[in-house]
Amino acid sequence: MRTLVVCSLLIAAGITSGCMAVTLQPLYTADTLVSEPSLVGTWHFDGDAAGFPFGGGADSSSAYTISESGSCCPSSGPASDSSTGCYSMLVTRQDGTVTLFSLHLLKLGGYLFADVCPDVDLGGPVVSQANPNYQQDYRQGGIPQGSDSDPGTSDSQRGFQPGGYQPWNLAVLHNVYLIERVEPTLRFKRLNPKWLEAYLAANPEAIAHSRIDDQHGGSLPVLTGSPAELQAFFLRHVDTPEAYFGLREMLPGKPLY
Amino acid sequence: MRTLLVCAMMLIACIVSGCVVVTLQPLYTSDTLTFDPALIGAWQNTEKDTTYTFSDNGEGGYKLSITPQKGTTTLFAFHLVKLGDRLFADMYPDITGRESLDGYTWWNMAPVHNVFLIKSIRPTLRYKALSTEWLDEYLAANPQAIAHGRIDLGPDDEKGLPALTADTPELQAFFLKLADTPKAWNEAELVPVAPASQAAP
Repeated sequence: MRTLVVCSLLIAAGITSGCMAVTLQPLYTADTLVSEPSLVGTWHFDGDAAGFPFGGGADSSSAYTISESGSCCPSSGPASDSSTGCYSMLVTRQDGTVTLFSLHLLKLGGYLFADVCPDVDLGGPVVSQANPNYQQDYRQGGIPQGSDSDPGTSDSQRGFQPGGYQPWNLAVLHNVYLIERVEPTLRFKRLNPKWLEAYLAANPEAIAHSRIDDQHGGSLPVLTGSPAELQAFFLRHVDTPEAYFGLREMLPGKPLY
Repeated sequence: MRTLLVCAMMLIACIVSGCVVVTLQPLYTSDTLTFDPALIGAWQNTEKDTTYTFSDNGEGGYKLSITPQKGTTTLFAFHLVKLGDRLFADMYPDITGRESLDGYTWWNMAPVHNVFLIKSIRPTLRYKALSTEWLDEYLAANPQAIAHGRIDLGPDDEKGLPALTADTPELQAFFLKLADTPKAWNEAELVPVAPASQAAP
C-alpha cells in the first residue's frame, strides 16, 4: 500500500509540474509514417488535460482540430510529396487564440506513436500576433491580417518566428506520445520524465541525451539521438510499465463551454 | 514539387540571413567569463537595419536587445568567454519568467546557445560565426569529433541545422581548436551607433 501511495504521489508530481520528456530530432522517418483517417476531426479532452501541454494555456476547454497536412518533408528522410502520416493540429483556446502544431503518426513494431512539434515554417510569410488567427490564416493559404510582410518580401524576412526569435535561437522540440487507440476515443500516454531521469542516470550510454533550460531556472532531459536511435529506444521501453504514464482520453467534437 | 520549392526557399533564406550553429549547453564556465565595458552601448549592422544594444547585467555578463527596423525586439543574455588567448561570445534568448511564447511552451521549443568568435570590439565589433555548411561537411567526415544532433527549421525542413549537444568543457575544446581554421567561420561586423567615447560607461 505504501508503495502504491508513493507511486501515485510521484505520478501526480510529474503531471502537475508539467515535466515533459522531449526529443531534439523527430521520432519518425519516411518509412514509418502511417495514415489513420479516423484521427481527422475536432477533439477535446475527456476530463483533466493537465500534463499534456499542447501549447501554453491549452487545457480541457480547448478544441484540438486535426487535419491532413498537404505535404511532408521528414528531416531524416528524402523529400516527398506524400502526405501519409502528416497532420496539422490546431489548438483553439477558449479565448479564441490558436497555436499550430505538426503531428506525425508513425508505427513502430505494431505500436502507434505520435510526434508532435510546433509548426514553425521558415518558408512562410512573417506573421504577427495582431491577428489571433494568424497561424490559421497562414495555413489556409492566405496572408494573415496583421502580417508584417506580403508575398513579395525578401526571403530573409520570411517565416513564423515565435517572439521574433530566429530559428537558430529556439530549437523546435518533439513530444512523443504512445497511442493506445484512435477509435471510438483517442487514448494516449507519454514518456514518464521521472522514470527517464532515473533510467538515464543508471544507464547514461543507453541513448544520447542532454539537458535544456526551463523558464524556472531548472532543466529538462532532452534525447538527442538520431531518429533511428530514438525509434529503438521508444520501442525497447514500450512495454516497460513505469516508462509511460498519464493516460489521457480525447472525445470527438468541440468541448462544451 | 511544392516541397522542393519550400526546401529551396529555406536554403536561400539560410544563406541570406546567415544560419548559425547552435549548442544546447553554454560555452562559458564561471572561470572563463570576462567583461569588457567597451561592448556596452548601441551598435548597428552594416546594412543599418538592425540595432544591437548591450548593457551590463550586473552579474559579469550583458543584456542584449536586438531591434530590427521592422519586427519584434528580442532579448538575450550575452557573455564574453576567454578561452586561451581567444575571445568568444555566447548568446542565449532571455526567457526568464516567460511561461510561453506565441502560444508555445518550453516543452515545444527550447532556447539554445549561439557561439561567436570575437575578433575586435573597438572601433568596430568584428565577429565570426561558425559556418553551418563547413560544420556539416566536417561532422560528416569526423562524426566522432563532438556530440551533435540536428534541429528542425519546420515541418517542411529536410535538413535542419547542426546542433552541438556536448557538454561545456567539450564545447570549449572544440571551439578553441577551430579558432585557427579560417574557412570554418563567416565574418560579420557591427558598427557603433554613438562614438566609442560616449558609449563606454
